[in-house]
Amino acid sequence: MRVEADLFSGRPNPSFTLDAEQAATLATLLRGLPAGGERREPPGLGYRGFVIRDTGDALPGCTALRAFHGTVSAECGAETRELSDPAQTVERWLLDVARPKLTAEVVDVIRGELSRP
Amino acid sequence: MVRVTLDIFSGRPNPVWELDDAAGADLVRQVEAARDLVGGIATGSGRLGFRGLLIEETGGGQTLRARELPQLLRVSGDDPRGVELALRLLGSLGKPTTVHGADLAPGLTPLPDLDLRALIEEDTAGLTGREERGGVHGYSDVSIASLNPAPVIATDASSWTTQAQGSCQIEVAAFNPNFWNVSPVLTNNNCYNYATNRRTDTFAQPGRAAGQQATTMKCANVSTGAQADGAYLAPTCVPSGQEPRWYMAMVVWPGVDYHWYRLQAEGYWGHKPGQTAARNYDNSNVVITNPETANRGGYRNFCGYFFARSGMGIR
Repeated sequence: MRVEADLFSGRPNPSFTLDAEQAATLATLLRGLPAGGERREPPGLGYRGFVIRDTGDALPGCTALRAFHGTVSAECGAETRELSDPAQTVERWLLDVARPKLTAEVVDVIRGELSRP
Repeated sequence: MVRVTLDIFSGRPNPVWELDDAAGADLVRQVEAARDLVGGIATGSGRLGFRGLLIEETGGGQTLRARELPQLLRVSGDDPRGVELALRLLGSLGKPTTVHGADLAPGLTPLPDLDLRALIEEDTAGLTGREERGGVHGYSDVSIASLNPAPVIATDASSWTTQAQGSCQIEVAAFNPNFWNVSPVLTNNNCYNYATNRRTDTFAQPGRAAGQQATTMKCANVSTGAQADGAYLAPTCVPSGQEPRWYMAMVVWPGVDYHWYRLQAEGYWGHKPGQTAARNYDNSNVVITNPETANRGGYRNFCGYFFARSGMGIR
């Protein structure tokens, strides 16, 4: 399962792959989230969330998702499904997983965004 | 006010210009784009002949400080880009003055009558290789011939109009985001594709077509990469015959990333942040009429304006 930290404009976004165990953990996190949430439009420039384009079995019926600012938006067939994650557990967990693959500056930027109300 | 000294003479006073705030800001933008050439005034090589530009903030201004540059600096004349900067500057300035008193020693050609451009070109010919490279200010079609650009699949404009931009002529086209905002164009083209108006589906990187891709995210590095691709750094104009000459602005998120904008026919600026949709508004959802003052998030360093042209190639 490939994850992108969506924040660059010119350079390709940093991306990393979840192994089977990490993918299972993500699926557990996602299935624990209630439906709902207030989707916020990401800014053009800067942190726009974590994007997974092939979600595998993590969310049955869904193929891609974006976790941004406390809401997980999943593309499920013709509809978009919102999951509420006010504690940003998915984003924080993905940042922890990504941390060894990101520069310190990028980690700081994302951490700062996650702390923003 | 910004004071510029052309550090070239040994015995007689160097030529000096006093720039007003607007002209000073324009110069400082160019200096910032060549930030790796900037040092303290004592960093000159001491050689006889052209040694660089000395730039100093006077009258309590903030032009240099606002760009996080020293209040008194030297742009090295030992690098071809420093020479190019000086030549461009000479093309836009009037007659120099001196601040070191009279310049009337017997037998000297009066300073205002000296052809300073010719003196620099003669002194630095070996450095810049201008005779071999030819072309405008050394950015020649010979160097472009060594590009390995990606094929341009399409552009967003079938027509354009020509207008003045300062002393240059540029082309502008109507804002056409629908061209970019469809799959697979959306995810395979970035801000550099958008600004140069070239769909290549390669997520193009400045300098990659020329084998000089910028890897350090600083104004000077990204600028060098774009110029290696054939872009011109303003105010060096692209001559006619190389239309369309899109007018672009470049900014940097220091150490992290870069971003580009393109002036549209409507007078505002369009851009395409990464894999996201092309748009004409900034992070505050305000239409971009000035990329220098737009809300750019972390892309806080404004690096300057550039011209794309028909001979440019990106990958």
